[in-house]
Amino acid sequence: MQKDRALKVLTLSGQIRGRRQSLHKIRFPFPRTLQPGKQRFVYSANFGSGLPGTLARSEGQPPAVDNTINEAYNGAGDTYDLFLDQYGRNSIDGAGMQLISTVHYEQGYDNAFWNGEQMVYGDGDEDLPPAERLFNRFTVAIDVIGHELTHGVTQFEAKLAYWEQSGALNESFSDVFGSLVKQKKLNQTADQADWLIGQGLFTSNVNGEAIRSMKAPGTAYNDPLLGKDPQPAHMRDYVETASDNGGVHINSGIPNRAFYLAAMEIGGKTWEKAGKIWYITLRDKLIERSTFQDAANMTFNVAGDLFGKDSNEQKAVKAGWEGVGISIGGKKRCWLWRWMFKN
Amino acid sequence: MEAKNVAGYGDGCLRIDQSRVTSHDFQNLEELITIEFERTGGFTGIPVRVILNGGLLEPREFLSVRQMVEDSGFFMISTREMQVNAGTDQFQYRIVISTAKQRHEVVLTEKQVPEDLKPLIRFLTGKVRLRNQ
Repeated sequence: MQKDRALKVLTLSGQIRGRRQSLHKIRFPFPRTLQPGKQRFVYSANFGSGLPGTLARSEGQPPAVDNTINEAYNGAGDTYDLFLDQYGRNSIDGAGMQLISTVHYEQGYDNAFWNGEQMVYGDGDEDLPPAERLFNRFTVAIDVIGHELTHGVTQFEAKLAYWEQSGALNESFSDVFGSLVKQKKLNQTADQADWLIGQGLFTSNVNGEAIRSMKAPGTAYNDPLLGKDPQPAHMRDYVETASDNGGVHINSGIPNRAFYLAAMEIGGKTWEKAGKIWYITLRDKLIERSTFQDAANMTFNVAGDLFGKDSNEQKAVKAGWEGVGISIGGKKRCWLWRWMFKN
Repeated sequence: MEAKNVAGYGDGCLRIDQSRVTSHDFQNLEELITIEFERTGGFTGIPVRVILNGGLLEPREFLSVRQMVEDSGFFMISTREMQVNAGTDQFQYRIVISTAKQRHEVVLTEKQVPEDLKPLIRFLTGKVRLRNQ
């Protein structure tokens, strides 16, 4: 009862706040019913591409026979709980938005994505003989689900443009909270966590332990077919590229490692302090074209606001960014200048 | 190509009748196609690339590819403006097709792919996935 009341207050404040939400451009096919509590709906695309597909499980219903549906349902619930219990956020939009997921998307679809309205998961290489499969179903890793849902949170808050550094930050925040969903679920401290993203996605045919490593970017896989994990761990190795929206999945390794270093320095359960610093930065400080330097400066400021100037937490954030070659208050890499220079 | 290989369909379009293609016909096809296909992005961010040389394909597969290229109106498709708020974790495709007469390149996000181009992308993606065989 008390939790319900708290949720109603959060829902109202989410509605009233709306300060960073320009929703006029976003189309919502699902009713944005403002209700307290989790509102999960898992659909199946039945290996087609129609979204959302056929409803397979909704809030409160018992587990389905198909475990993929349950993984999407439970993962969305765990992510919702992390944001609500730790950061007081009621769902993706902060106002109780329904959590829509679609599984079994297309055939042989090696991907999961957030399309601006819902989460979508492929089954990997399910249509190939086992000996030829490289990818398992994408719901198999809880941090993938947390990652996709966090893209929704970013859409409603900082709106980080999906291009170059702001896009890599968008990716990194998704990896951060994806990892925290997993760490919270396993009740791990920073030093107990594996800091891997997408563990379990590769089949045993691939020489790799996960898709990305926040602890050691660039080391997650090294496979004759897929190549080597291309993520840099430091600004000196920043990759300039036009592919992948300007390397958003490549350069995210840099802020990922900064978060890992800060979290390890702070110690304990990462979602409590480091996670809170990163969440408030995403919610209140970053904007569409924010850079790594902006993220460093803002997380440092937020750590000071939350835990005090020169606190251990603030020093840890500073050390985290310095560990990847970014000094607090340092010179900004101007994206406009670089764009003009390149063109 | 000789008329015997072209069949008329109810929709008024002319299509290649693959069942009647012979190796002799294939040797007469001088306008060979080279396709360069690259897929980047996606949750994994792992890029995949394949270069398809029409001259190395089986005759029927070659004709099938050429048909897909024609059906897609590929040479009329223009690269769309990249959207800085494109769907997160969706794929991005770069396709370059060269013939003896022309070369054309398009870069599209998954969201921007026209319906008529999807069969060709499915085929090319399948080629990439066959690397493991």
